[in-house]
Amino acid sequence: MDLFSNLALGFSVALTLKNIFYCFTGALFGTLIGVLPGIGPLATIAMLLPITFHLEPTGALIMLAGIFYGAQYGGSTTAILVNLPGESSSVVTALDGYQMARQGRAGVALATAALASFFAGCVATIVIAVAAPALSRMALLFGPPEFTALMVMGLIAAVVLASGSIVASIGMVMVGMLLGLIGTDVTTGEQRFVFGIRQIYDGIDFVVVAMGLFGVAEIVANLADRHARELPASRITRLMPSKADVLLAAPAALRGTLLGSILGVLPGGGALISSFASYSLEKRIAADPSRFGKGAIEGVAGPEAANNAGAQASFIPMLALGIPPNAVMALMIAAMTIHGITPGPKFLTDQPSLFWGMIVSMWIGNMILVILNLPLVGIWVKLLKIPYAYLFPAILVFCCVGVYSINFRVFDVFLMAGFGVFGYFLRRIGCEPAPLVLGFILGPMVEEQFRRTLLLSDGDFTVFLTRPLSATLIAATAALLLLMALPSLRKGREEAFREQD
Amino acid sequence: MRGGLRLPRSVYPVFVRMGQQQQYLSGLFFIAFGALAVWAGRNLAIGTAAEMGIGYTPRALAIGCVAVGCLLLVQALLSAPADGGGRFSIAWRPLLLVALMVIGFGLLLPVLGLPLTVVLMISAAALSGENFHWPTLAAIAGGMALLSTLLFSTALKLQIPVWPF
Repeated sequence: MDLFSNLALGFSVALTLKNIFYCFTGALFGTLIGVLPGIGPLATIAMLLPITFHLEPTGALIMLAGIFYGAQYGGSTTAILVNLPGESSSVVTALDGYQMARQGRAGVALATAALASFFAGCVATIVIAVAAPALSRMALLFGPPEFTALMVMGLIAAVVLASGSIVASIGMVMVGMLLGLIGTDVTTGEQRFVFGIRQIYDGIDFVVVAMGLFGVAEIVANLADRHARELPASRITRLMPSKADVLLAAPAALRGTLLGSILGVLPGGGALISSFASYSLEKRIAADPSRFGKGAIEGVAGPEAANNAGAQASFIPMLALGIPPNAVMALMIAAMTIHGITPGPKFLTDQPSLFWGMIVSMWIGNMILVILNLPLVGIWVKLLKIPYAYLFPAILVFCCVGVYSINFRVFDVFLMAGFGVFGYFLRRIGCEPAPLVLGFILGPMVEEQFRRTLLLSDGDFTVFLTRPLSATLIAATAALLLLMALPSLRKGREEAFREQD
Repeated sequence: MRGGLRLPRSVYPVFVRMGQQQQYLSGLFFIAFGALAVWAGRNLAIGTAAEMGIGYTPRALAIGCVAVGCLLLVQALLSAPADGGGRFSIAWRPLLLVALMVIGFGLLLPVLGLPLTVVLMISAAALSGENFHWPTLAAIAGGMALLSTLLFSTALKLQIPVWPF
């Protein structure tokens, strides 16, 4: 069996003492930062990127993956304990999780979230191990027109499956692509939009953009938000769910895992859409839907499993095609590039030990999270009690040092301040910055493939429609856009994202 | 938000529909950004579809931005002002303070080194208008200065200036 020998290779890489240590440290720091209110996985990864700089590529990748699911998990903890989801994908967890916490069942909610996530993580790891190699073999059939069509579809799907105004999100994608084109053009070596600033001749660093838009801007938004924060219940007593809880939660976690594994692979998919879909599903099939929003355990188990499965499954298109399906994966690509790794169809065949080591370490990381989080809940509770006035300057220091240490120049720090102000302004005019980040990474890639396509076809645009594979992708994209124009479906989408009303 | 869920502002725009005022402002923003891109790329060669110059994609994207902006303005004209949705407001104090702290870090780091810069930066947080306690803030400033220096300079060996001399 190919799969087993591959997994065995992965275990031999991931189970070295050094790599277990990196995995553990990544998960620990990821949770630590992710627990802090108002910091999502994107900001967490960007902030912790410098601690991976001095590692060799395998260790760095393992640690980055650990940081990623640590942050994801930390966000759920905050959602349950203080009703303050750090990022949109844990919003639904807060609905029933926080109600459980108020009923004195915070421990049960946290344990359910941890175990559901662990289960989902195990399944998703196997899904990645099976699907990623298959997808990367398929990618060998792709030429420039297919890659162009696929990326455009990814960008459109990201906009449609996300929430907020679709028109504005498409605009944000284009703004991001334009910003991504700043610097020296790969094909001709000429410079664009550099305004004579030497420091951006090589383009703007992605980490600077992400940290400004998601780190700095979010700190401003949180400071402006004058809600009195609720303090978590100080003592968490019972952790283990009762038998009745398990009977309700286990099937929900199973359904959530399936949903997440499927939705995560789709372009534009990932944690957010998966958790929302799972919550709607659980509410729809429940015997008594009125329990939801009042502490229903399925409302924690399902979305948490879906969220985790979706987050991990979104690694598949990123690793196999080199195309990030969402903003967090875009950051992962940028981080891998720093270490000299280019994800894509060749990554699996050229560096099998790196690839399979990373996959297996994901599974180990999920296990570490369960071991780590349940006993350490007390520490997270203490962390959540620190007032924001003390917290935000410390977070800001980490952002600044993180950005400075990419190239060791203060110019990047100033640029981050600029993107922070820009990001806050965008939020205030109702534009979500996540599509911008995706456009930023995909912009140069789309341009390169687009240019190559039309060069080969001698300027003939119909090439996108005459090749069957790219025609299918274009048709799917057009269908997505058309569907969004239908009023009934638009309403359905609005409802799906308004589950909390 | 009803249902007792409190959303921090950072996840807010995802769930609140754009208000009329925001549609106007975002429309104007996209038009301005697109126009800026057209102007800044005025000297880039456009070329033809088969022989694309470096100005081809940027020009197309810039025109796209302007189109999106116009569409948003039309939407704003068609929507009623009392339609609910988010409203535009800027919290100047946190915005300026945070920007100042970050820029201050960039200016002071090469001169003062990491620990002193961190102490000054964290002390500046006192201007945030949040409730705080001087001794605690001082302790955090000292602790963060020590921790960040030990972590980034000693343990991770990043080449960050540590002392002013």
